[in-house]
Amino acid sequence: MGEPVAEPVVEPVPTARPANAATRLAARIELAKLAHELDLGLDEVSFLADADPVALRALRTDVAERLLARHAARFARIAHLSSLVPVGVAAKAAQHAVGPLVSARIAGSLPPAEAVRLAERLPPEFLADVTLSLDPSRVAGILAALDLDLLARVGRLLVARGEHVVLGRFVSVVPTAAALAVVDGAGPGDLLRVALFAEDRSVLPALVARLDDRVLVAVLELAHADDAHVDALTLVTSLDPASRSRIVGLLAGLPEDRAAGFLTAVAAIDAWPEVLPALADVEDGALRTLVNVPPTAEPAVLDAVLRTAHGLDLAVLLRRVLAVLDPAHLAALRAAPVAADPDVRAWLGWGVDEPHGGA
Amino acid sequence: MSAPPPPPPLTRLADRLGLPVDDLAYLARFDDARLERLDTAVAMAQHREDVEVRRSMRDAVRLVPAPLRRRVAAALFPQGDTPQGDAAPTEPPGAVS
Repeated sequence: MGEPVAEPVVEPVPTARPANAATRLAARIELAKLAHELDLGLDEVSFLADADPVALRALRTDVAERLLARHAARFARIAHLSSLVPVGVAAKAAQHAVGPLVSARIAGSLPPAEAVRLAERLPPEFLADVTLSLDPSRVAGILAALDLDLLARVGRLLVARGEHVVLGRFVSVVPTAAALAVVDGAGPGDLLRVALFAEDRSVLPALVARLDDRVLVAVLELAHADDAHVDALTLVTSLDPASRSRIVGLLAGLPEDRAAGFLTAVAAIDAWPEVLPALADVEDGALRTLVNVPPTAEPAVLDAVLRTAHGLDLAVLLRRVLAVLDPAHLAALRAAPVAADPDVRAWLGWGVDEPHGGA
Repeated sequence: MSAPPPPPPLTRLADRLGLPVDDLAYLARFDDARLERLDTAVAMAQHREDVEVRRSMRDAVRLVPAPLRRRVAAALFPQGDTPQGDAAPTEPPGAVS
C-alpha cells in the first residue's frame, strides 16, 4: 500500500499534447477513480491514461449519474418498502438479500435518521462493502449523524483493504474527528494515497495541522523511497502556507537527497509559486541544505526560481538564498537568462557589472 | 437490403449515458477503437448493475413472509416493471448495437 499512484501503460494518442508531471498525476488519479466507478481494474482503462484529467472527471461524473439514474425508481421503491418494516427486518434484508451495492444506491433515498438507525444495526464489514458504492454527496446528512466510532471503524476497514479511492471520496465529507480517527495508525502510503484521491483537497490543511511531525516525515520518507515526490508535492501545493512551511522545514531536517528529489519535482511541475514562499520561515542552516542540491544547479531551474521570486516580490528571501548558495550554484545563477534582465537586477539591487549582486 | 451500419461509438456511448453527443465532446479526440473499448466498459458496468439490481429485488421479495409476498412484490414491481427489469436492457459486454 506504500506504492505511488499506479502508473498505467500509456497508449499514445498522436494528437495528445505533452503533459507535465502534475497533469499526468492528475490523469492517473482520475483514471483510478473512473476504474472504481466502472468496477474495473486500472489496466482495463489504461487506454485512457493520457486523457485530459478534466475530461476523465467529466466522464466519471456522467457514468456515475447514469448508473444511478437507470434504476432510480426501483431504488426509491425499495427505500419506501424499507421504511415500512421494523429496522431489524430492514437490516436483515439489507445484509442478506438487498446486498451492499443496492443498499448503497438506496441510502440516498432514505431519510437520514432512518438510515442512521439502519446503519447502527449492520456490522462494520457490511457497511464497508456498502461504502464502496456510496455517493458521498447523497449521504452527507447520514454521515453527519452517524456515531463517530462507527465511522472510524468502517474507515479503518477500508484502509486495511487499500480502498484509497473510496476513502478519498469521503475524507472531505465526514467530520474531521472521524477522518483523524481513521488515519490514526494508518501507514504513510495510505495517508499519501487517500490525500491524493481526496475529492475536495480544501479539507487537507485542517487534517495535516493535526498530524504529528513524525507522521509527515514518514510520508516524505516514503515519497522518497518510492520516487513519488510529485505525489507528495502535489499534496503540499494543496495545503495552506503555514502547512507548506512546516513540511518544507521538516524536509530540511532530512538527508540531502530527500530535498533533491523534492526540488526536482518542484522544477518538473513548476511549483515554485507554492514552494518558494514556504522557504521564508526556514532558518539559514536549513536553507543552505535545501538550496544547494544538484537539481538547483541547473541554470534553467534557477531561472524559474528567480522569475518566480521576482513575480512574487520575494526579494528578502532571495537575498538570503543568494547568501547561502555555494559557488557552483552561484555560477549556474549567473548563467540563468533572467539574471541579465535589468528589471530583475534593479529589483535585487544588483549593480550592472555585478553578476550576482556580490553575494 | 443490408442492415444500416452501426452508429459511431461516440454516439453509442452518448446513448448509453443518456446524453446528447455534444455533451461528450471532451472525448472526441479519441479514435473509434478507444471509444469502442470505453463504450464496452460502460456497457459492462451497466450490465453488472442490472444483474445485481434484479438479484437484489428478487431476493428481497423471497425474504418476505409468504402471506405478504404478493403485496411486497406488487409494491416493488408495479405494472410494467418486472424482476427482469424495465430499464432499457443493456446488451452483453462487447456487443455492438
